[in-house]
Amino acid sequence: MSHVQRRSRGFDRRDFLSLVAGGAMTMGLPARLALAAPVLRQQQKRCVVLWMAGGPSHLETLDPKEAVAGAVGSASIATAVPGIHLSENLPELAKVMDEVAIVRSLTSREGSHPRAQHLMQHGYLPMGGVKFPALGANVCDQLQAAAGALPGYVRIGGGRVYNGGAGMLGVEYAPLGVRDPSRPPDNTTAMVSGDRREQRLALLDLIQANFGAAEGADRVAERRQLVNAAEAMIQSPGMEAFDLAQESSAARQAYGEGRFAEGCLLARRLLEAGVTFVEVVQNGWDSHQDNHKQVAAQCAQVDRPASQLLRDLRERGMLDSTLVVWLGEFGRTPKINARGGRDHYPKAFSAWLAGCGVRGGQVIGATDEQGAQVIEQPVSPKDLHQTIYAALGIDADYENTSSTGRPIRLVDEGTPIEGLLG
Amino acid sequence: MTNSPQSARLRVVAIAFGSLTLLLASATSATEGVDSSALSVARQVDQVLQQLPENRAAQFAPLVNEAAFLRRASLDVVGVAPPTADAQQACAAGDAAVTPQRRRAIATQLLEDPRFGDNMARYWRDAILARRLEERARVVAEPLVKDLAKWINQNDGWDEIARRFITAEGSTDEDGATAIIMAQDGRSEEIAAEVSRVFLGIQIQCAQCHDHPWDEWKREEFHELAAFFPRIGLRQRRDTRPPVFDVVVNDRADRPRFRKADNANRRGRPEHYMADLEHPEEPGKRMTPRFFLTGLEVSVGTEDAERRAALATAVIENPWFTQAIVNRVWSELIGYGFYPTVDDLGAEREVVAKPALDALVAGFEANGSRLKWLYETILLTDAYARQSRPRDEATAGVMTATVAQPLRSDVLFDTLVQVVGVAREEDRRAKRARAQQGPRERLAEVFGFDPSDPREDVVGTIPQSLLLMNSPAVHRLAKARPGTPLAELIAQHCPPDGEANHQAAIQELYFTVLTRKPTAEESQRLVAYLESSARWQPAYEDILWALLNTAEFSHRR
Repeated sequence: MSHVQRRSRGFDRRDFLSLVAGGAMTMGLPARLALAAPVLRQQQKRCVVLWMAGGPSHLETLDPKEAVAGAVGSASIATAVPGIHLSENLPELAKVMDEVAIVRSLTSREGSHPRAQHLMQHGYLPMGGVKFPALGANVCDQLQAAAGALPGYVRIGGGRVYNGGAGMLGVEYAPLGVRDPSRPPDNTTAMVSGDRREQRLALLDLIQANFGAAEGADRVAERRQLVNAAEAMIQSPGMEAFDLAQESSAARQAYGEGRFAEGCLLARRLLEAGVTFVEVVQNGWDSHQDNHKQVAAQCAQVDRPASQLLRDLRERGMLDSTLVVWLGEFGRTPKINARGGRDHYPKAFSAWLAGCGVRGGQVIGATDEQGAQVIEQPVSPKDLHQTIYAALGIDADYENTSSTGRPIRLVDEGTPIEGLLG
Repeated sequence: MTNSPQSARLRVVAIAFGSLTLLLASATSATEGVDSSALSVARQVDQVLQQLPENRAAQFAPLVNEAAFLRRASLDVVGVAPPTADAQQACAAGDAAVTPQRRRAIATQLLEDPRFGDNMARYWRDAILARRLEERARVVAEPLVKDLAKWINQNDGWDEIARRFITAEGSTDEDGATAIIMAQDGRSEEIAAEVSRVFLGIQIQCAQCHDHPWDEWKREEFHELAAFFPRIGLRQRRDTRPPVFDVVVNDRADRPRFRKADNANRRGRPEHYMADLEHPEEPGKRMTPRFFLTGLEVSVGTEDAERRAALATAVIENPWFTQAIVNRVWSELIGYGFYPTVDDLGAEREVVAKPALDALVAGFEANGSRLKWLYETILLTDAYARQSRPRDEATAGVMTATVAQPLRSDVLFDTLVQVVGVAREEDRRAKRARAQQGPRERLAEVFGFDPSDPREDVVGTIPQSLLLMNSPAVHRLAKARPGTPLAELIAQHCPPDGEANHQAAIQELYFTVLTRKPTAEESQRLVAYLESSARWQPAYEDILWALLNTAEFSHRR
């Protein structure tokens, strides 16, 4: 049936693998394992990005400062790892500190939201004429994501403010946005029977042929691809992954309450269903006013679910193959402004990583006693991207080709953060 | 980025071709009594394109027929597909290329329709608010659409409209001209960047923190531009919900306590200070307001009204101002611009068919910088009336074909409403459920895009497909139940006590949804489908579903 043709490279790879597996039966077990193992291992790798939109204050989260107590809105607390302290806003993360590597020495020059977000999401600043793929799109492409009928890349929460998508890789690598994690994605409950849908798709093919012949060949091809993907998704048993009601109440309670908590739980379910890259977005970190209260409230939304996600992945044996990254686009000014807020500050900020070969229980880099200057092992956004690709076993020098034929590496500068992995 | 060699080549070529030089001369002297009517300028543009050396070997796409022209122009001008009766009439003209007389008649009629202003105003609402720093800036959307639609319909010049935005004061829920200031949260640096991007098509904001890596703009020049805007602030009114803001002006002496390097300038400060990157805690350097393109300078201490008025005049008199709007409208109507990115122009940028742009610019200025004139002129060009081609193909030559474009969300919404209607109950329920968010806004959440983004970057998404394929709302509206347009159509052509004329019914559906006749094959196969179905109603629903889910329906062909 032409309208359910499967075009994604993921499917090709899966078909290829099943062929390989079938053929290998005659080879004997060790040979078979040797052939399939590297590919399979790579396929199993996954990534979750917990995206803190707006720029979280490093001082009231991952980089607390004792010395300037008056200017810092939260005390610091000890963690499960002796010698490492976090803000009291993150008591749950403190308990799983042995899984987590904190980077306190991120530094960049981009102090406006759109540019800084673009840099953190793509590894590049925006540049006219080049459609950079977002990190998630590159990861799905590189890992040959095969999630069945579910998209390889799902973005939970956020909204239109948050941009970034497949770029030059094309619509099949675009993220599926899920605004409300407590419900299945909009319009995924079939309105008519399966037979009738088949009929309708055949009629659609008939009517699209006219515009598709010359004038809108590209637009019709895109529409076909999207309709097929949407149809495959609606029919897929994998859609159950979106149903949080299938979780026990204990599991739900462990993640806590709120959209972000539901988002983290949904992320875990989607990873289990074969999705490769999940973003969970928490808006509201842009604390220009009343910073201390706002950051504390944000942490209360984020701390428990993020930590529980790590625990949950560990218990399910998935953490070793799942990279979890918590980050925003920049930090906040060490100085409190006239409205009790902190303004944008890209010069020094923090992030954390866990799983997938990240050596937990350590701190990379340091800032001075105001949290104003990086004084040890500076890490650029591009270094961070190099690190993420390295952890996922992806060659960051791989070149995509832009629409004008220009080769664009996944990341063009930087090196993986020393000492973070392994 | 590599424009200079190309434009130099164009100039050389212009000298080589006598007729072209003549054309250029007539275009540039439009103000001196030369005919700068829409029709005359449209002809000049077409001649320039025909004679471009890049196009000598190119195959120009044929002109569309009248029905396709009507659909295209309706979607572009009034933001909705033509009604069934008009579509039927246009289809009767057959497959021959649309005549110049009909093009002119259609353009004139559409531009007199007040929905032209609404359509334009919604475009600019999206262009301005897509870059908002603050969610609360949505409060200005309604007054912006109302005011701008009025100004455009009464044919105010684009220069006067721009002046209102640059010099706005007052309440954001009453005065639409406050939109840029509101969207940029009253911050002087961000407002300066937006004024430059929106009205001049020049992106200078990259120079905010450092000298621009590949443009000529220097960090100082950016902050000198920001220095036109320090005295305005945005003040939230007490106890208003949704929040209402006022653009207020603070003309005070430059006391040390007002000197700040950070740009969160929502209260208004006497002067703008450029942060010292090495010492961000210091106030930084006091900047004299100076316009980077002309060197116009206003002294420190000048009152706000005078500062912004001086800048507004300098902006609207600058050549980039008209180039930016002409290039933007052309790009919207043809599918791609002379400059490829509508808000990233400048001497360093690549440009094609510059003489055609120059002819339009001269005509636009000679005709009072009015958008209606610009739309009419472009609608009268052959370039506009050509068939569309996929972007890669169309851009192989220079404007040898148009490019199909996804409909903006408002246009899709209004066209959907026209085709299947919108149940009032749905509207009301939505309003109750989510304050002020009706079906139009919810569609925009899925289909909305920033119209300044290069259109090739605006790709379809799975949620968009799901909404048209499988949403309860569209499903309900496209059903053949009593009261829906589909049920009426079936009743008319297939009366219970008479003979069913499926062919006529299908034809009418095509007029309504796609503004064209079904092809012979479509007609035959759809009639066969209806005849093979046990019940007509569901089969008609299937056909309407298929029509609505085509790329043809949701694109401007």
